[in-house]
Amino acid sequence: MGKDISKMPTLDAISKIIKETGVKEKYKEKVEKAEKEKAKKQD
Amino acid sequence: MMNFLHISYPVWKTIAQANTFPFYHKVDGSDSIVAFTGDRAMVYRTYAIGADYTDWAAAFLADSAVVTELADGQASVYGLSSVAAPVAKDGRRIQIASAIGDDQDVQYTGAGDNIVTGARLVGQDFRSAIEEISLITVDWQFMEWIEITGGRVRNVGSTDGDFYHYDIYAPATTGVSNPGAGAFDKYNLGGPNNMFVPNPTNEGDWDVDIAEKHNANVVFTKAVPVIAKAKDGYFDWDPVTYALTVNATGTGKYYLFDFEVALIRVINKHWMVPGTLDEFLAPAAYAAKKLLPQYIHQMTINKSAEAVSTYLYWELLLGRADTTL
Repeated sequence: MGKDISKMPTLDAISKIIKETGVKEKYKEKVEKAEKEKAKKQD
Repeated sequence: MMNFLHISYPVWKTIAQANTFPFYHKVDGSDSIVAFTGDRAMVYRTYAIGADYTDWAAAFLADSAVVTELADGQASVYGLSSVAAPVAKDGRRIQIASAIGDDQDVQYTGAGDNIVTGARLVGQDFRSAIEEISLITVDWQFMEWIEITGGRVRNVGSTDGDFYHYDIYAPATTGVSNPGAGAFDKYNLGGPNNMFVPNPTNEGDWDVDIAEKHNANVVFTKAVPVIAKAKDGYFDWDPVTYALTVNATGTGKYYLFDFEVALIRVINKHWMVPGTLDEFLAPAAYAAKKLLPQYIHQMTINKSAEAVSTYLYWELLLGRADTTL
């Protein structure tokens, strides 16, 4: 028996959640923090 | 573009007559058996004809008398489908841009690939039979990325209320826990669903082997890239090498998820005409999407009443780079 596809989230629903949960912003923060720490170490 | 008329319609013959025909579809005016009822067999007569349609017209008129005669009582509904080259009012042919890229060849296929053994074209057959009130599914995959631009579906023995769906979904990508030293983090998207995002300092909690192949016989990876429509993904995928790479700027065309994703419902609740019908899914002049080999295709057939078995056969018109074994 195959999968019940109706229970899987759709691409559109996921795109919306990605925006709502701020994945992009959280990632950006991590990258900036990493860059700052790198610069600090170099100083 | 070739000027053609491709037409298929059923005629009833005796079993003895039908047994003289091969059990496969031919596009040369010969016949193929698709169903038996009592002492009769339904035979599909198919033509692919060039500029001269007169031979088709004569053949159809001759055979249609037989169909009409047998429709009373045992003959099912008969179907008539065609894909004709479009013609303008003044008779000039209308050119339709091909939906298939230059690097792709065209293939009608009635089977998927065997991704376990790496044998192309000999995987899951596109056919199914269902006898009781329930639903069944048929799953298949291809070894390379493909584009779907059309197809053909035949249902036999259907009862009113039978229908089918055709879906494509992406399986989940599996990560390995590596707290504080992983190349990736999981960003929660609600409930048990998470997205893999690269950790800029390799101090994440998860690892994903994005180079590992699904198995030794195929070129595609075990990790499953899922299309990022907004191009805000953290991965890129190469359609030539099939390599999956990290996109650290977050502008990639693909995501990685640890859950299954419903990608496309290619056919939604297609009602089967009671009896028998042969339908072409007309090639659409649209920019077909690349469907990665990691994606799973699934046909779901729903039977609504117990009577005779319902059979479903389908073929897909694909654009693919490799059409041979």
